[in-house]
Amino acid sequence: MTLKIDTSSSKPNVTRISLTGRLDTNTTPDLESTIDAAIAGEKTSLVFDLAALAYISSAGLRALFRAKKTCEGKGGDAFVVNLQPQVQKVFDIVKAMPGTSIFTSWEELDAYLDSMQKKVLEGDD
Amino acid sequence: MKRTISVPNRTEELARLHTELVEFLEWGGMGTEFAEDAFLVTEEIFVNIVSHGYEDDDEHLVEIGLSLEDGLFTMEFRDDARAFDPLAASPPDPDAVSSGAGGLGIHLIRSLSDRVSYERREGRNILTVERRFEE
Repeated sequence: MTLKIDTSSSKPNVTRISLTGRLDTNTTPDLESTIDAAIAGEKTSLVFDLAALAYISSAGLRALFRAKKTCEGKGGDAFVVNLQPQVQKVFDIVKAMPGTSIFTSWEELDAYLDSMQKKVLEGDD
Repeated sequence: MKRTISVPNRTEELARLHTELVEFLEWGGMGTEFAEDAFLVTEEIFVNIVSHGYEDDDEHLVEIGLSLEDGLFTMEFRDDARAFDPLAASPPDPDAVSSGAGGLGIHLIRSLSDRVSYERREGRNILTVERRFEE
């Protein structure tokens, strides 16, 4: 029942949070602390890389939902990428994060974020 | 095959629950996906009991009866918390989900089970979940 959390930032407004292990009732509070720090200041968007996440329960889902709401409040959004089968199944069951695009690869999401950034710089909404 | 697990009402016990449940199902020839689905149901039910059931700070034991036979896997959760029927909760809506309100866990439990039933008997809540499988 362990969770390893790594954060990085390759874009000015975006923090990438990579999860390894399991996101359950006991490990979710650690993620919530990380999210609070990750979405501070000029950061408006979060990317959760779930390539190494083997399991998620409702506690983890709620944390991701709250993160999405926080990001939206700052004019950004939250994304999940690289879902593994068990996690994908749970997302499918709850139709998790309605209105959120789930990307299948970091490259795909990267391209999307670049196009979003371009729109902001060109003044589009 | 059958087993009964007795667990104190603390979320820290989930690790031990996982070990015992996975061991039981592996012995019964079930695969990893089936075991992880079963554990997700277990976590949702157990955390619900621990969070909502007790008004004191005493230790209470939650009993989980496991049964695997004739293509049917059954888990029976027995606790002596106050009377609470989790199945009476309404389905989740997107705002409720993000605000942390109930319903999300029950939705997962129902989706991963073929049958879910609740009864109150002799001062205990008894929540039974069943899942059929091909032998």
